Amino acid sequence: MSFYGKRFSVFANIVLILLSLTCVLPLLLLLTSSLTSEDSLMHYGYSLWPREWSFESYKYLWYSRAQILNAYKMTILATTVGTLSNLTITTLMAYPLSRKGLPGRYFFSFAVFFTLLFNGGMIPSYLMWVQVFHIKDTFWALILPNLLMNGFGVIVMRTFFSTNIPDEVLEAARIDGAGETRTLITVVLPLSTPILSTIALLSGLAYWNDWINGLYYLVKRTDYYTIQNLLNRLIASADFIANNAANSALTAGVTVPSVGIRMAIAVIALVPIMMIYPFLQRGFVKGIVIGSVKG
Amino acid sequence: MQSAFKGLRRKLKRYMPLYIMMLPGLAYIIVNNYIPLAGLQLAFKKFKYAKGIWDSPWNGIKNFTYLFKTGDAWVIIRNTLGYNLIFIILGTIFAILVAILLNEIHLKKVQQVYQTVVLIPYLISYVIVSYITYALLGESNGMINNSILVPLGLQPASFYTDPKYWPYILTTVQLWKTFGYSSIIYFATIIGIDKAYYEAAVVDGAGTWKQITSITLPMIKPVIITLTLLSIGRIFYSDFGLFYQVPMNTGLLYDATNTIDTYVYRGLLETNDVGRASAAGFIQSVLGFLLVLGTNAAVRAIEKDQALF
Amino acid sequence: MKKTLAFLLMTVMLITSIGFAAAEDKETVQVAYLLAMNAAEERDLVQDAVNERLAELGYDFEIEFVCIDFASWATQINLMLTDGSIDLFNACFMSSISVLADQGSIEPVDELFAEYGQGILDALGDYIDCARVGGVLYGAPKVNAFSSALMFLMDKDICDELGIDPQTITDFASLTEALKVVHAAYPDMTMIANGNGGDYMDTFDTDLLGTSDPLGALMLAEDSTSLTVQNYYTSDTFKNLLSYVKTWSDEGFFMKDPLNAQDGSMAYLSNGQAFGSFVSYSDEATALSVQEKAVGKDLYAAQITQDAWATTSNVNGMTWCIPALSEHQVAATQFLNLLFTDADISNLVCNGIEGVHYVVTDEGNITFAGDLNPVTTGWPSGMGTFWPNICITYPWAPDAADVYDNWLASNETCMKSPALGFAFDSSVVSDEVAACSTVVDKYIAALLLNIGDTDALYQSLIDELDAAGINDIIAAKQEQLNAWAAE
Repeated sequence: MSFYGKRFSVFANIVLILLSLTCVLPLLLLLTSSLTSEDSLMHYGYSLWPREWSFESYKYLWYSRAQILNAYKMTILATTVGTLSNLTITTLMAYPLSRKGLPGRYFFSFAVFFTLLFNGGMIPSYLMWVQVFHIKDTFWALILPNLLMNGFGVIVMRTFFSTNIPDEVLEAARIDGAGETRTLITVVLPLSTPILSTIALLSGLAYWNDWINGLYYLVKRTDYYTIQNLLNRLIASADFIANNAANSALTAGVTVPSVGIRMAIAVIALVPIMMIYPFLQRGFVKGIVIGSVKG
Repeated sequence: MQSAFKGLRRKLKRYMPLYIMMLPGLAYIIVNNYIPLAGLQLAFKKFKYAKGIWDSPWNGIKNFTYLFKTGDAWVIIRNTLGYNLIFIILGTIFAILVAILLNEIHLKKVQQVYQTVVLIPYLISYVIVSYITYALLGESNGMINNSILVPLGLQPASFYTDPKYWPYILTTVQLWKTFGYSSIIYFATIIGIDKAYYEAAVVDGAGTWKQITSITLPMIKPVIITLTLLSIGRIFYSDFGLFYQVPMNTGLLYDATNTIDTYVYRGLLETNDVGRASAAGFIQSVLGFLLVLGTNAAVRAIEKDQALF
Repeated sequence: MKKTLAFLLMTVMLITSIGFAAAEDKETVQVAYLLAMNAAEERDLVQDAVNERLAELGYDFEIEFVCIDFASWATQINLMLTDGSIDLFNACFMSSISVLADQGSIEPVDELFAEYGQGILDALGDYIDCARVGGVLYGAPKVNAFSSALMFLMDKDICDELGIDPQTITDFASLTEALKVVHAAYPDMTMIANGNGGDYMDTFDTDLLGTSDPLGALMLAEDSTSLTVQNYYTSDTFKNLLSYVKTWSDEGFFMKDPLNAQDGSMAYLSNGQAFGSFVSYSDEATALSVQEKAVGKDLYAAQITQDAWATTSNVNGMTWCIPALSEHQVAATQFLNLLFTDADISNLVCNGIEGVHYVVTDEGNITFAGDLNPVTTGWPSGMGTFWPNICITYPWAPDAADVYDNWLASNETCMKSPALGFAFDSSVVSDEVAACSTVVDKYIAALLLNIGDTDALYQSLIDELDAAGINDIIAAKQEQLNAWAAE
């Protein structure tokens, strides 16, 4: 429902259409570049309509299709498991921090916030996860490091709980005899679908886009590679050939359409998540308001 | 004394379920974040692989000098802070604007389409963004020179050899890439605002602008403050992809594109010094932290509940 | 009490018996292998073949290939050096061995090689000193044609058409004349192709003293016996090059938008957009044999610099090292020794399994078995130069069976830098190196492509290098070089 008036609605649509164009046109450019022949790209650069059509880039990727499909499977698996775990742990952490009376609340909030600023570095993290937890070359390498709970998500969720869950609602639950856990599950969560969707989305995107975990921890089990790791590897192969052809016999005369390939790879990385996202958007609706309080 | 103790015990008993809820999260940040913090000592050590983190010899502050011994020290600090300030201010305004506009779309399907589309830039990696930028700004083949400047009779601009354009270019690229993602959180908050407030405002005869400034903005103020404080904490860090990939690592543009992170990367490329890299991160963290403490204290003085901690 | 004791005793026995069983597993040496474009699907086959050969020769350890793709190579090797999960690796595409030695990540190998690596010492002769840092030996450089001269590769068909004889091109002046002729006939073609970021020429006639930068180098063409370290950027060689760059740029020999090139220079030769490109090889024949395969065209090669020089940096670019934290250093050395001396093992790792991946022809070289090609074969065919000794393996057709003899011969007859065997330890001037690297990166592409007011840019380069401490670097290099020469 609009309260701002019809003119604003029209204004909103115009602005959003323009913004959408700036987002879609580059995607179109990616798509057409991936379907343009390598020669044409090198001679004439990029354009919105290919001068010379070619499926060469996709043919090269088609050859690796088994690997690509496997990487997709892994990504979807890791993202699902990771996001659900992240959502659970984050909610369990954020809810107590939002309860104003909790002793030590500021201390724990600070402890969470501190992790956003200070970082021990690549080597200490690696040594700990590998030597103490033995996650190297296992599926857990995709789930556990860094992404399982993020201080940013905790703080944002805590802020949401503090501002959007009225104290009266919580009071009402307490008077009804509900413990903290009951309150969380039956009262708070239904009111919080927007923030739950948000954190699920942010965490899902983080897992989907992550390539660092695979890079650090998957050495022998490259069948656990996510799509980002695999695509990085394909791009680097193309780069390697392009840049090292001048210096060694390592490439033995194979031409790889390197620019077009990078575009094709970018397209492959984008398309699936664009298809999944609309399903997540269903959560962006306001939660059920408990009518009894609003008297 | 006894009764105070008893009071505390009663409180703990009441809140015990909450502490138990926090256990998984706390365990995780101890394992994932706090234990590896022991690695911060590497900023003051000369890391010897065979000796490991604990037994490597101490080094005093020798790992920090390379950041200041360069004539570029001022340039990289100015660039990092300057760009981040602009990004925080413009980025917040833009994200809120988009969130408000999104909320105004009546048809759910259309709204969802816009939401999906504005997220696309976030999903495109900076390497690809650098190709798109080149397609626009290239001197001989770029769209701006070919399709706009030359047909109008103007001189083609050489974007990749003159640093003066780049503050604008990088800011535009960064906003384009992140506005969809940043607007998500604001959007989630805005749709949570009780419609009753708006109904009352309409009854009182308030127009669009008045509604935005007296209802929407105040209601999302806590989120704005939180997100801004978090950004301030990272104000000495920069996005490597933006400052290295998009200008295609062109030397002539360093005055406008070199930040602390790119300087550290280029400087350490040959020596791969773990201690020096750690020292750079240490300074960035400590300075950002002090800044946040200061800003947070200021916020707490004005409005106690909105402070981060 | 008795029950507890009995239980404890049983547990202890169980644990020790498991321990014994584990000890019966053979010792495994983890060997790192770089994957470039082929994913080495039949890795296990080749690995088993190597292990069979090891058993045949009487060794009681096995090896395992740890296949790492190019994108992850530097990061993953670096991380594995921190926890000892790799036993033998080629220090390529990562920090130089003086850096690795200074970090304490690789093991000094004087004793290991003396006892288990005689084959390595024999294969390399004096060249092995290029892997010394501060007098201590840290690894084994792979066998290669060690000298390098600047060459210009050109499209053969165009040369024949315009009557250009590559023998007449012997320096920059004659090259420029030839390019003018070609450019007049093909005005839209790029004469000198450049690769990513505008990079088109390696430093030539310069000894980088074991590092990868010329901040303080020996200028070999100016004085072939001098041990005086100079500032490369103020040297006559560099200034002379810049004067030619101006001419080339004025004549229009460079690409449009050279700074934004996204591919290597050879790609532009391949697709006909460019006429020629600079490369560095030991001699013209080698340059052609390598590049004609890569480019897929007939080429001519012309040597531009007078001599091919062997310097430490040429030799130690791909050095095989043993990590300090490895627990299998003896076995690793023994395997490395075999890689240098045993033709069977070398052929397995460089080319694959005979009959499965390749077949030997009558001429003594090899071709693909069946209808395999570089992309479909189960073991990479072009990575022979990654392994220690390609010279004892079968070369791929169309190279002649004795192509490697050329390489080894050139190592004896080439000009050797007076500082051959010396590698600079840059840890004493790390700050200055970081600062100077940034300054060079800022200006070098513009200077070498004549973009903007290059006289002013050149002056800025020199001034800023002075301010960043290049003279300290030169002094440090001179000091270490003098100490080395005195021994």
